[in-house]
Amino acid sequence: MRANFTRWKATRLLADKLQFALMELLRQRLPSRQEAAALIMVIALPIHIRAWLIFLHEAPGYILRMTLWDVAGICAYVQFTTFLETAIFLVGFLFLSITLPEKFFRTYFVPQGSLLFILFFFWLLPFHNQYQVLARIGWDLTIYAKLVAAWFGLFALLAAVFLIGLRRLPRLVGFIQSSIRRITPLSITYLAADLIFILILAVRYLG
Amino acid sequence: MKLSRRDFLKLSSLLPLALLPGADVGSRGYRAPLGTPNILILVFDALSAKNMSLYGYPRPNTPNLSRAAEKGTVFHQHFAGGNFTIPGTASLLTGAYPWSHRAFHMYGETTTAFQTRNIFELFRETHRTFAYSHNPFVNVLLQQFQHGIRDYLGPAGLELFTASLADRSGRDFTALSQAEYLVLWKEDGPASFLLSRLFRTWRLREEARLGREYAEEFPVGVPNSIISYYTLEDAMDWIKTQVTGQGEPFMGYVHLLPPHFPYTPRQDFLGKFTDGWNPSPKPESAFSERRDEVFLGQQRRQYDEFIAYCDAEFGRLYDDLEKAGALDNTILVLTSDHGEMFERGLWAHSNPTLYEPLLRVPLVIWTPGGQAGHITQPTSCTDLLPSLLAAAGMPAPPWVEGQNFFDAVPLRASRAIYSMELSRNAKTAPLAKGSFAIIRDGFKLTRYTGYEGIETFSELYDLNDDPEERANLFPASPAILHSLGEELDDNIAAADHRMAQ
Repeated sequence: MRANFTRWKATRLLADKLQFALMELLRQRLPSRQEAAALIMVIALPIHIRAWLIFLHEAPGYILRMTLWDVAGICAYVQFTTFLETAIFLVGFLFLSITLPEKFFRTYFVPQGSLLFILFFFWLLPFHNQYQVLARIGWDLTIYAKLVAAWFGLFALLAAVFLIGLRRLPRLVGFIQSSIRRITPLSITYLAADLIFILILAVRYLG
Repeated sequence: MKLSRRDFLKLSSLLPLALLPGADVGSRGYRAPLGTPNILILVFDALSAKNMSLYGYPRPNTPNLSRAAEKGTVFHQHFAGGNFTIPGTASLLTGAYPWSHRAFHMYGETTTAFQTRNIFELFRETHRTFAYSHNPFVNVLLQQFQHGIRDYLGPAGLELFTASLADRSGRDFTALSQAEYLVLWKEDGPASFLLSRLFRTWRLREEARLGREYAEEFPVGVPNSIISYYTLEDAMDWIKTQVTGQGEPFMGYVHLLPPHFPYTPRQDFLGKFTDGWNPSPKPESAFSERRDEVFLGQQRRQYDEFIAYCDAEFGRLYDDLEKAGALDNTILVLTSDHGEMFERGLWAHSNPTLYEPLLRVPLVIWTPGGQAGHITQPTSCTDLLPSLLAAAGMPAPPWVEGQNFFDAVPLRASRAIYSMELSRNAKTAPLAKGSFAIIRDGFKLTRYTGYEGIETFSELYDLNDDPEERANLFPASPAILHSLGEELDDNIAAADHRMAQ
């Protein structure tokens, strides 16, 4: 009985220590709320601008044949997706911040995250036209796989150059930070609109 | 009459039946008189009468239908209300032309007035109404008419696999399916930046899995609507379950996507028509997509093989229903929402033209104890609703624009029939952009107006002497032109007036 109690106590102690260590790790590695918010501004802007442009391109066709409430419904689903994507990217960067060594990512969380995201955003865009690429290379998947590998290899190389450059060029960090301040009002507008559209979505879908 | 105690007890044992719900309308639960026939409407999407051996097409692609048609009534000049799914189907279901119901865009719905002006609403009180469609555009309409459909299977009902979230959820279908296209499917760049990539990877993997699973049966691919996959076999088996033992009388509407593109016939129909036959080329259309004759010939052959697959499955269904005695009290209707074309530099049906291959659809009706017959007068898809209502002993409501072809009064040969393509016209705006066809007295006048870069022009064909529409008579025959043109203008003006009210 006593042996069991001692074992239980030891286990409990170990669990507490682990929990404390984890909390400490999160405290050290997780960025502050301000930093996370700044990165959200960077992530939200290109994703939202792109989604809005695509929606507005199709909108005249919708207005031609649908009620405004239905058009708002379509917009709501689109904005919900962009909101979700923004959140997914943020979670991804938080994960990197926790898992990578502190001085490697945490220290420059906002400028590094911003730079990586912008680079990744433009890197992914060509993949939306993958069928045209496949058609050009005669649907040869072996060549396609090599192209993809080369494309992301180049991305990794460029990302490394940028990230190293970032540490050596404090003016670049300053430029990124001042850019974030400039885009913040626009990003906030997009995110606020997201919330309104999510409300519309809830009414439509659940109503 | 004096009741004995024993008689009273016997009768009182039946008393609980009277308390059952619907017992006042017979034990069936519907207010139709006993003997009211069931109705089953089968629509094969994009089935052109011009490509069916039943109607004289040289390739023997509908032997089963031809055999079954010997016991039914074949309509030889039946016209669709439009040249693609939404207007064609909406006209079929409402008995009104697209200029009235206004469902003439991709994913378009009718005006709200037609939410209660459709076949399901009209039969809801008297029949068990059920519906299913493979086609997502038809599901937009079925969702809109859902109030009148007692058993709506929903878009995902018979699908082997669907990549569509709208199909899977079945809620807020119109907006969700449009948004889904925009966010995930759009080929030249979907609105979703990341999720669309993950979605596409998942979809390709699932499609490949399905392809492998059915590789033997469907070597060129499982029948699909690009976003969802199904087989006709499953649909036919489901129809049998609905027709037998689910409650009568019923009114069922089943919209099957084959032989719509992509043409993916079952293995036993592949290569069935490698005869090299091609019809002689027709004059190029003003809307030509410059499709060459070799391409059109290949597509036509695959389409014909797909029709043969549809025919075989229809034959199987027909035989099974006949054997089960289900046709003894059922009106069976086979038709289509629009046709398909392989001529004039145009392929399929996504174009503004209203040539015969796009408008002429099959209509065969089997009535209980009915005799074989042939109707050669022109009929419209808007005629089906009033005709079925009449067969069920119900009057046609005033908004129906078609005419009962079961009527003892013969169909007037001089009656005008219309078809139109209005996808460029705003839903409720005056009708100024589109294609309009009027068919009367054997002539067909088609007017194309409001197309960017193309001046308004008309074509006139004598369908009796020139059923293939090779010789455009415009601007000859001014008397006919004037008469048809005036009637068309009057009706367009009347439709605009109704819309404005």
